[in-house]
Amino acid sequence: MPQERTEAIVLRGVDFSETSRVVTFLSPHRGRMACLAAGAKRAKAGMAASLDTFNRVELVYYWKDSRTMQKLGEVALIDGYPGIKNDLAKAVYGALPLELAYKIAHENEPSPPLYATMVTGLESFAKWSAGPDVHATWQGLQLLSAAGFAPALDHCARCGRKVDTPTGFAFDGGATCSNCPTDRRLTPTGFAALLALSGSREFCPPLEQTGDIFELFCGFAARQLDSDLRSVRVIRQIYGQ
Amino acid sequence: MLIHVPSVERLIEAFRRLPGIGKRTAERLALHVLSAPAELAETLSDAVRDARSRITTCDICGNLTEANPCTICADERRDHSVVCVVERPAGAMAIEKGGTYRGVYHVLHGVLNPLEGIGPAELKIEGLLERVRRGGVREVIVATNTTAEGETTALYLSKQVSALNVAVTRIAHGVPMGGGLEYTDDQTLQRALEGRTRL
Repeated sequence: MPQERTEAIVLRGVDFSETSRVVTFLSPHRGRMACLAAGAKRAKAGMAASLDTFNRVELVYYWKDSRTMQKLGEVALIDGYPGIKNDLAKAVYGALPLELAYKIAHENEPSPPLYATMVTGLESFAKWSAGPDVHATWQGLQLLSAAGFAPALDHCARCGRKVDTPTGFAFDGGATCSNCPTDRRLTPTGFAALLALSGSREFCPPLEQTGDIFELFCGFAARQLDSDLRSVRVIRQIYGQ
Repeated sequence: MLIHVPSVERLIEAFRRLPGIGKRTAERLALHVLSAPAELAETLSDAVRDARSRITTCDICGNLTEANPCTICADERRDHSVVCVVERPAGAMAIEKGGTYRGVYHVLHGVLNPLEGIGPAELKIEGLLERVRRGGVREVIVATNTTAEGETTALYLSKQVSALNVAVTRIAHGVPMGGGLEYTDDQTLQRALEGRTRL
């Protein structure tokens, strides 16, 4: 059974037994990877703190092709992102990119761009001081883009015609022209914000006017991934978005 | 073989549903129950059925109880102005075992977990806020676990309870009693240093 070492982000963790947890990581070379952390909840294991969601860790695991769940050997913390966890709004909105990454990434499929996008997003969010909805939208757009789900912004998602000032947005493709059916109205402010957030790969532009692009993005992400986004439900409960 | 008898398999399956019980342990427990005097099986099943039918959640604190309100909420000698918020009944039991806490409890029955779609509406948070709004509470101690979800819940409760002009405190985190610093993980040590107290 080969032992492998990688860097990873903790996406999710669920209790498996009294003392063990099943932790799902996003890793650059194995994509989404579920590992059994046997005895992780025992105080003496010293592992539980490192396996908290949002954490960036270095882990050692035992890989076996026939298994859907790998066995975790060791884990060491690289960054716990306290800047996210110690801020209620960031912790709640930050769950959206984690959920997207969980749903986008495939098991045992290398995804270095997705991993790099996730790390850049977490590092940036930990230091971010403006609206968390803007950052979550930027991070989400970058993750979807890394996975090939970027919204069409320079042409109509329905008829394919080039559009400079789209008036609507279709959740199954992106911006739409005034002649095509649409899911939501797209204001000039919203379009400008979408363009700025989609085009900036390295950092989130500190936008003040974004219209309702968070809602628009959530609708787009849910349709692209064909999945109800649980984190969005909780964000709406707490912040009424 | 006994193991392929449907009633025995059902018993094994029932034991397997309990936390921390794997297939082997479930088989061992089932065989023990079957080979022990019939009285043991009857006592066990009566106790499970009796407890399950009698135990309910306290209308005030949400803890598991046989009487409503529970013995802690009904105890006049306890300090009802201090409410300790825990994730699960097991948290209240753990603090009670310590024997030093004299306030009352509030059980949330979970923590905020946006990834799993668990928001404030899925927890007993409104009951806590209602308790605080009714008056007589001067401090809410948040004793949720020190996970990202536990911390998010603590931050949310702090925001909501502080708005009602009641003090919110968080239980301390740090090095366990009898624990060596060299075996403590980085995050715990960092928290322990941040929460240091003057001697």
